[in-house]
Amino acid sequence: MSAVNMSLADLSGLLLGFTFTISILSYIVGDNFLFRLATHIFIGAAAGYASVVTLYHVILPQLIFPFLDDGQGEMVLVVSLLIPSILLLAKISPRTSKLGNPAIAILVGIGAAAAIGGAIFGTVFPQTSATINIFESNNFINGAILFVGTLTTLLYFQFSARQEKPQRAGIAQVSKVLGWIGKAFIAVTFGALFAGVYVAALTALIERFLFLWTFVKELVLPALLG
Amino acid sequence: MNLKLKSPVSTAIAIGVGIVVLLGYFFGSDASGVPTTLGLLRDFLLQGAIVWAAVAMLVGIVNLASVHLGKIRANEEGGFSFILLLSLIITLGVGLYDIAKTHLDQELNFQRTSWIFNSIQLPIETSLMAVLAISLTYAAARLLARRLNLLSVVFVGVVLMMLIGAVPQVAAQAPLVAEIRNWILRVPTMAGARGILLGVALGTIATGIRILTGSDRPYGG
Repeated sequence: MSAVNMSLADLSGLLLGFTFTISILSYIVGDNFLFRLATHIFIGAAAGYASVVTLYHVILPQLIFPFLDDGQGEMVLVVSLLIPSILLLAKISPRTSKLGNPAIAILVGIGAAAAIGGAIFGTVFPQTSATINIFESNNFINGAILFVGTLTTLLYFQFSARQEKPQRAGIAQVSKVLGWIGKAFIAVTFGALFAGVYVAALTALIERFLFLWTFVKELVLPALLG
Repeated sequence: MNLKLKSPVSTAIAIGVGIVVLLGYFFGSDASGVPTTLGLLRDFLLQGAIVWAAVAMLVGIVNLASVHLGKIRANEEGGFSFILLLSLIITLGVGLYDIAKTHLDQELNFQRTSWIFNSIQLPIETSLMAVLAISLTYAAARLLARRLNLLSVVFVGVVLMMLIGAVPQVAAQAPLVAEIRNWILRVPTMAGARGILLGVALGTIATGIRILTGSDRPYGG
């Protein structure tokens, strides 16, 4: 990194990166003006960037260009995409908002069906078959721990509605013990996940400090010392 | 079950469309693998959902802008809202210019948008991730201070074992630590993760069925 070989765009990009990094890291000492300023700029830029990506990759190629270019066969499909899109735009104003409900209903219906399909074919079938075949790929002890862990974790999530009559004491006790074992497995799983996220965050912290140090060493110090 | 419908049309649309897509998953192709009418309808609706979700996202961004415009008018944190709107408008303007230039020149030309991404979004996102490291350390320390029980000790113990076992020098000097770490990852973590995944999937199916039967109507029906 040397200021002499850099274009103005690269240099100003690095300066912005340096400023925003300092602003965000200042949150370590508490919420402050610089942090708020940086997050508001970030939200605006992220929303603008998301709009550009959505326009370029989805709306223009699938809605606008086919409407302007293609023949009548395609036109029927494009119009059937266009009508709910226009209804969705009615959601912008509170006065016309109700007109957008059918379009939202289409999205919710498709989303619910896709979620059910994804959950059945992507999770329930493969995870259940992996649990059934648990002893094929593990020794007995590991297989038994995996089996008990999977079942008790699942038992910990109670999907049933609350009963009006209390359960019998024996059943309630067994379900409590199994739920507690499930909770212990969940604690182990969340511990491992936490460690993974922590390592990723620590890597980001090291990378930012390295960036700040390189910026100061290569650009700020030479400028100050001539 | 409460079946008083505010908007029966929206409810009928959600149920109808949802059932067609769901049936398309099960009867989407015949024995020879050729897509059936249901399969083709499902594909069209899923493709349409991508477009409608994109339009819905743009509506959301317009809503974000109007909320902040309202804050500027009400002089409520107006300065930050103005900065947010300015940042949004500049990024959107630059992006639209890049899209127009790409379309006119018939070659990809997104240097300006990429510059905004690399100079603003990337450093802020990475720095927010970096701040997370400090917050997580603080949260783990507070967990032990505020709720000291067997489960929190197990949680923190597993975290420490994962972190210590991941250090290459520790793995080289004390292979048993690395072995215990791998076993925790391979057996109890896998068991818990599998149980959580199955639980989430069953919950998703239950929620989906409630929408497809009209018990839940999150579209104002």
